Formats: sequence, structure tokens, C-alpha cells
Amino acid sequence: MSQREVFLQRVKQAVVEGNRAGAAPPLPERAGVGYQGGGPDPVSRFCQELAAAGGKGYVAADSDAVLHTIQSILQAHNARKILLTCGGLIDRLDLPARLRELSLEVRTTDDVQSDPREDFFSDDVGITNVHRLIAETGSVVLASKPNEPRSASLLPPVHICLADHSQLLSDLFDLFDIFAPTGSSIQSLPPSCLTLITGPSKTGDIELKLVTGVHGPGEIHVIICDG
Amino acid sequence: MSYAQHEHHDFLGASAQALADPTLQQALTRLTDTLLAGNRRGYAALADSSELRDHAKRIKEHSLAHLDQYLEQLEASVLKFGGKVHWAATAEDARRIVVEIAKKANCKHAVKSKSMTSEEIHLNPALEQAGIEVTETDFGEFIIQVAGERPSHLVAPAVHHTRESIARVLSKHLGEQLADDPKSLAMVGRRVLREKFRQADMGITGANFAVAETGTIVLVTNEGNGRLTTTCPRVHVAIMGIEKVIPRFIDLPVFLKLLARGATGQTLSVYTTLITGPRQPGELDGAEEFHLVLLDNGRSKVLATPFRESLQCIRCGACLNACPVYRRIGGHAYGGVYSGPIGSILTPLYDSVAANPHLPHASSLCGACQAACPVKINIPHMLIGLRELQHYHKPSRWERWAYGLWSMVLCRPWAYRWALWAARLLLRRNAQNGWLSQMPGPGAEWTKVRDFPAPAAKSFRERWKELES
Amino acid sequence: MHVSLMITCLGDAFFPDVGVATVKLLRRLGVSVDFPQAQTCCGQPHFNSGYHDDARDLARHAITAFAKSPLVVTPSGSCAAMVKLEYPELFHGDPTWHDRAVDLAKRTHELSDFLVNVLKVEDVGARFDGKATYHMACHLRGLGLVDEPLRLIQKVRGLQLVPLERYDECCGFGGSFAVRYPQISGAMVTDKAAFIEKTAVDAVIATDAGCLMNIGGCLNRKGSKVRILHLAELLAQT
Repeated sequence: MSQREVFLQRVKQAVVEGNRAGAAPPLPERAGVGYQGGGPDPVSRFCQELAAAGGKGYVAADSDAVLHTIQSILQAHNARKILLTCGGLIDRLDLPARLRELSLEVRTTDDVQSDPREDFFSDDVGITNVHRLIAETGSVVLASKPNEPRSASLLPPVHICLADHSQLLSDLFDLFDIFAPTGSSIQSLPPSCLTLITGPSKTGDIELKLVTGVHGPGEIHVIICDG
Repeated sequence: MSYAQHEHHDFLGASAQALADPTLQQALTRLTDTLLAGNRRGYAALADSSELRDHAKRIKEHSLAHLDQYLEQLEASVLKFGGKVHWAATAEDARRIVVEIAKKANCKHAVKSKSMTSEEIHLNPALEQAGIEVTETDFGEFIIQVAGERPSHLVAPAVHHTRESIARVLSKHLGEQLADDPKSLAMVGRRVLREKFRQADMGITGANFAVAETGTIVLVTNEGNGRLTTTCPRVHVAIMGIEKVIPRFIDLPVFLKLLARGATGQTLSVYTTLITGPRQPGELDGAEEFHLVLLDNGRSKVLATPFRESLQCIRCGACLNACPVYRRIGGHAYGGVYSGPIGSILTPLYDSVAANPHLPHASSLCGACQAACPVKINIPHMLIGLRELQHYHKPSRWERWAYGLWSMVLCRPWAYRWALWAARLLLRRNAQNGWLSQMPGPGAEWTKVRDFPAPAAKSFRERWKELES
Repeated sequence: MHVSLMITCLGDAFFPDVGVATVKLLRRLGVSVDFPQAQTCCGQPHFNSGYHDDARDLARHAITAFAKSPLVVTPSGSCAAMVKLEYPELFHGDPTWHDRAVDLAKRTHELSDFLVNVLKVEDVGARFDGKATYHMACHLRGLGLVDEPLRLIQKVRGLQLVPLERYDECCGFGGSFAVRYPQISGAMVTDKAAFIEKTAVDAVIATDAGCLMNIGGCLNRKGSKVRILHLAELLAQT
């Protein structure tokens, strides 16, 4: 027998022995338990929860407002090197071109070739699209894709993300239901990396004093486009 | 190497030392007060948190009762995405497997995201022996690694350190004089560890959960080091205990809603990362190789016993924060990799019941642990179960005799009445205002720190006659 | 209504006043009380120390002693928890005794549980002129009786209730724990006593003999003026 078979055999035997003493209950269905939802106004709930986690949410009426918000964040940090992911809202707003007009050093993930790591390490701000937002928890959900690398939301000290109003989900359970809409088995497979970000990077390892930005971005800004 | 590291074989000595350390006492109070308040706030904020915790427990019960099937399903799912699965029956197997993966992929620099499982198998020395540099990247774990210590709390490994001692440790390590304010120390950590991430060719993580249905492993961190560890290096090795598998993708949010709430009171930790296989074609980053090491290391042994419930633990640390004993003696006194109430169960079970005589007894069975546990593990019951087990492994003849005699007396009302009379005769002589400041026999331990009440002049059953009329 | 009193061994030997107060209180509320003479100890010390055969002997003894009682009331959360939660567990492999254990478990009530949830009274007509604080006994958590004692205390005339820091943290009694680990247990009860002292009350109220002997022993050693008071004693005063 292979090591794997011996291993599994031992587990199987333990399962049988242990099941004798107790019960082997069926896989329970959750029904509605634990569903909290986003309340009557999910957008403000999202912004509240994000603020509680130390992030900042903005609602922008149109593309000019988005640009204006981004600009003020960049100015506050005196940011020069900007990394943008591609597709989604970033493309629809033609953001790379409009930021270049502001004479910033702008690179998109389309500009990045083979080993991008050195580039990613030196950027000041990363701007990404989102997969979803979750009102209940104030979380941003990112799904890895060829033009949405994980580093863009991770390595730069400031992370700005753009979301469309329609991407806002009420509850954490809603996110998982997208992948398994029948409520039982999986319908669409998750991406190689699905990340939920809830506020800026934090540590409390020194006397429980909260310090942000120890590994990931010290700031997260979420701009929700209403228009 | 055994499961427990018996640097504090001497539980009594180690706990006495902790009790006499005012700095540690202050740190423990601060930590446990804050996190326990968070735990209660977290549950209170969720209207039906108790029902959700029951649901989570049932998922774990079900998963453990079908563990062999779910492990096979997990393996198939991981393979489908191009990952590799390794079966490690023992800690030694796991160490060998990880070293082999590193050698095969020609890795020289490993970064590690906080993983209790890797602590359990003592992975770092094995990697270093094989010539692979390994760096802990959770800031607390990094401090512990540099100081050459072991974590003293499941989620706050460096709780026993002060800002001054951290500045001292890091200054010495880096050869520069560092200020001791938390912000600048953390930024030093960022600078140093960024360099490690840049160099790293291997990322080692644990897994908070693994989903059988999709082959997804889940990492939860507040700092983001879990993301960096799985994003920068070209090889990712995740080591997980077999009990971490859950059946379906939709079962995951049930635990995510509870894990951070239980641990700190956060709705979610800052970063929840779901990794499903290596990076896919066209992606710019993420590990190119994904390895999942499934660790047994005694778990199947426990799975077969009534202590199976302990395998439901999701390592949130809530029971430590709630425990009045932990908050006074800290994590190192427990002597094992896992401390606090859950450690008092895991260490005897995985190491040896006979070699850990104190752990199951060093609890007042107050139940605060179970009340705080996201999956409501009945820790007091298991501690009592271990006490019972101890009588087989390491019986104390005189204690057995004393309890036996005591129960014989209690089963006979006439003997009980006689014993009451004798105790009164013996103890009331030295009483002052109804209290004794010194007791004979085992009672002497009691009166070291407090007085003991003298038996009443008339027992209730004697006074009942007056009440009847 | 008629109930049997389970006095508990500690109550019998060390705190008979608590039993007397319980009887007076119940009679005042129109409940008649009897006292089965065969009762001794519920067996919790043996159970907690892992001597389960002994604990079963004592459980059988208690089940028999209270076999004829329509309801059993005890001024102790820990003994109530032993009967209600552990007795059925002890007889898992023994259907006859298991059924009897479940039956006794259903009939048994901790005092505050009986008053609030069975008799449905909160104002028992008690009076206490002074300041008091309340320590929650751990076993009430297991029994789910977090509010009941407080609801009763809040209705006592003249009583000014002062909140106690960490009121629901264990006092460090834990039976054999206090004797096996006097340093840890001592640190716990020392903190508890310090929190109590800080409230500057006349009395600290608790619902278990174990807490009272531990907290009282520490307060007495420190020469504190705060007295220990069982909930039954408080509620019996008019």
C-alpha cells in the first residue's frame, strides 16, 4: 500500500470507530441562519463598516467625480508612481489616459511584462477594480485575473479601488451564493485567488497598539460610482 | 521530536514565575480584557450568533464523521487545478516532505505566514538544517523568531513582550538602535520583511480552512503577510491538519462570520484569502507551484475517541482570552505548542496523558471557554474526561483511596452524619469568628491564601427539626 | 405547590443559614417544603476529579433520595448543574438509570430559576438597606441563568446595586482546583476580592456555597468589612 492509502485507511478506521460512540449527522442546511444583510441603505452601511475597519468609502456621481476623488487622494500622498489594473470600470472611465493628463507616472498591468515583481514593489499607489463589495462587513472582494494581479492591491502603500453600485452585495453569504446559486453544489469555480479586504493592513503585536500598514497597504479607499 | 516542547515540564514552577511577573500580568490583562470584550461584542452584533455557532458545529461534526471521504474529495479538487497533495502521517513526514519540495524546486529563501501547524511539527529547524533560510512574517511571530522563543498566544504570539523588549530584540538583531514606539517598530518590520518577500522563492502557510468541493484553502490575517506569502514566491506550500477540511464552498462563510468575531470581535479579519490552486495561465503573480501537505500527526487517533470534539477547534484563541487561568499564567506555562484551555486538551492527547499531569486539572471548570468558543466546544467536559483517563495512565493510589472512602461515606447517611460531627469537632476548636486561618492536610493549601469557613455549630439537617415544627 | 429542598453538602455543613433562609423564603411565597433526610452530596467533586464510578454511585443515591419529590429546589447553581446536565450523561449506557436521571434533571431547579421561571415572581417582598454587589457563579452560565438572580436582586427594596468589575469571572474556587493550584486560585480570588472592595459595598451576593467560602475566606483574611450573602439570605429578609 502507498503512503496515501495507509494514511486514508487509518483515517477511515478512526471515522468508523469514532462514529460508533457518537452520531454521524448529515450535512446541515443553513436556511436563513446568520444572514445579516446590508440594511435599508447598503451603500451607507458599506461605508460605515469600512470606516469602522479603518478604510474610507466615497460615493461618486459621475466619472468626473471619480477622477476628482482619485486626484485628491494622490495629491494628499504626493504620489508619483501609479499602478492601474485593466478592464472594468478603470477602462470604462478611461482612467489611465486621464491620469496621464495630470502628468503622473502611470503604468497599467497591460504595460507590465514577464516578471513584474520589481515594478510592483516600487509603486506609490495601486488602483484596482473590484469583483464585489459587501455591505455587511465593509469588505472589498478581488478576484485574480490576468489583468488583475494580486500585487496591485497589496504591494503599494495606498490602495484605491473602484466599484460600480451594482457590484455591492448585502451579506457575506451572497458572495458565496454567486458560486453556488442552488445553495448546494458549486456552479462556477472560484478564481485562483479570491481576496476579501476589510480595511487597511493592521497589527496589534506591540502592546496591542494598533498600527496600520505593516505589510499590506496602510490606506484603503473605495470609490463607489453611482452613475 | 515530540509534540510538546517540555521547556516548562514544570507547570507549577512556570506558572508561579508568570504570576510573579508584573509586566506579564499587565500584558495578559490588557490582551485578554480587550479580546474577550471583542468576542462578546462580536457575537452580540450578530442577531442569531448562537444558532450560527450551532450550525458551524454541526458542519464540523459532519465533516469529521466523513473525514476520509472529504480528504479524498479535497485531493481530487486540488489536483484538478494543477496543485499537488502530500500525505504526512507524522511530523517527521511533514518536515521531510516540505524540505523535499524546497530542494526539488531549488528554493533557498522561505517566508512563512503564521501557522500553528508548522509550529507543531517544528518545521523551521528542519528547513534551516537543509540550508534553507526561513523567515516568519507575521510581525509578532517575527519578533518571537528573532528572540528565539515560542508563541504564547494563538493569535497574539508576542503578547509577553513589551515595546521596550521588542525594541531591544530587534535592535540587537538588526545592529541598529531602534526607538521603542509601536508605529516605527512596525515600519522597521515592514522594511525588513519586504526585503525577505522580494527575495523569497518559497512561501509556507497553514490553512484556516480547506474546502473539499473546490480544493480552496483559506488564509486569514490582519497584516497581509498571508497574501504576500502566497503572492510573491514562486512556490507555495500549505500545511494543514486534516481536521481543517469542510465540505462545500457555501459552508465557508459560516466559519468566516465566526472566526474573527470570536477571536477579536472584528466582523472579518482584514485579509481573507481563498487560494484555489497555483496561478492560472496569463496571470502576472501568485505561486506557480501549489502544494498541500495534509498532516495527521495523531489526529486520527483522537478522531476515534470521545475527544473527537477537540478536532472542531478553529484556532481562534477565544478560549484563551476567556480563561481566568490563562489570563494569569500566560501561554508558556502550558509547555505545549497550543496553550490555554484548548492546549490543556491537545497537549495531553497528542503528547502523553501521563507526562502532562497538571494540564487537565489546572482549570476551575468555569465554562467561560465554552461560552466564548465559536463552535461551542465543551472544553470542561473534555478536561474532566482527561482527568478520568489519567487515573488509568498515572493513578495516584492515595487519592483513589481518599475519593473512594469519601464516596462510601456519602452513600450512607449515617456515616455522613458521623463525618459531619467529626469534622465539626476537629475544626471548630481553632476557629475565630467562624473562620480558620490554618487547615490540616490538603486544606493547608487552601489556607495559604485565604481563610476557610468553620463548620456551623449545627448543620442544616439538625436545624430542620426546628423548622418542621 | 410543594418542593423538596436539596441543601447540598457544603450548605448543610458550612452555611445552614442559607438553607433556613431558603425554607423561610419559599414558605413566605406559599410553597411548602420538605427535606429528604437521605440526601448527602450530589457527587460533583468525584465527577469533576474524574472518578466517574464513584460519581455514579452518588448520583444513584441522590436520584433515590429525591425519587418521591415532585420538584426539587436547591440554593446552588453548581449542584443544580450537576443534576441537570451531568447525571443524564453519566448513565448513557444504562437506560433505566438514564431515564431516572433525566426525570430528576427535569424536576430540579436552582433557586433563582425556580422563583423566576416556575413561580414567576421577581419581587419576593425582600428588603435590604445598604449597598451590595453581585458575583455570578460559573455554573449559572452553564444553566443559562444569567439574568434571573439580577432580576430578583433589582426588586429588593432599599438595595443599591453596585456593578462589579468582571462580575462573571470565576472566583477561583473550582473544588479541587483551589487545593491543587492555590497560587493560581489565590490570584483569582485576590483579584475578585479587590474588585469587590473597590465597590465599597456592605455585602457581596452570590448563589453558591463554593463561591461564598472562597470569596468570604479571602475577604476575611484581608480583614474586609464586606460580608458575604447568599441570594436566599438576601431574599428572605423583609
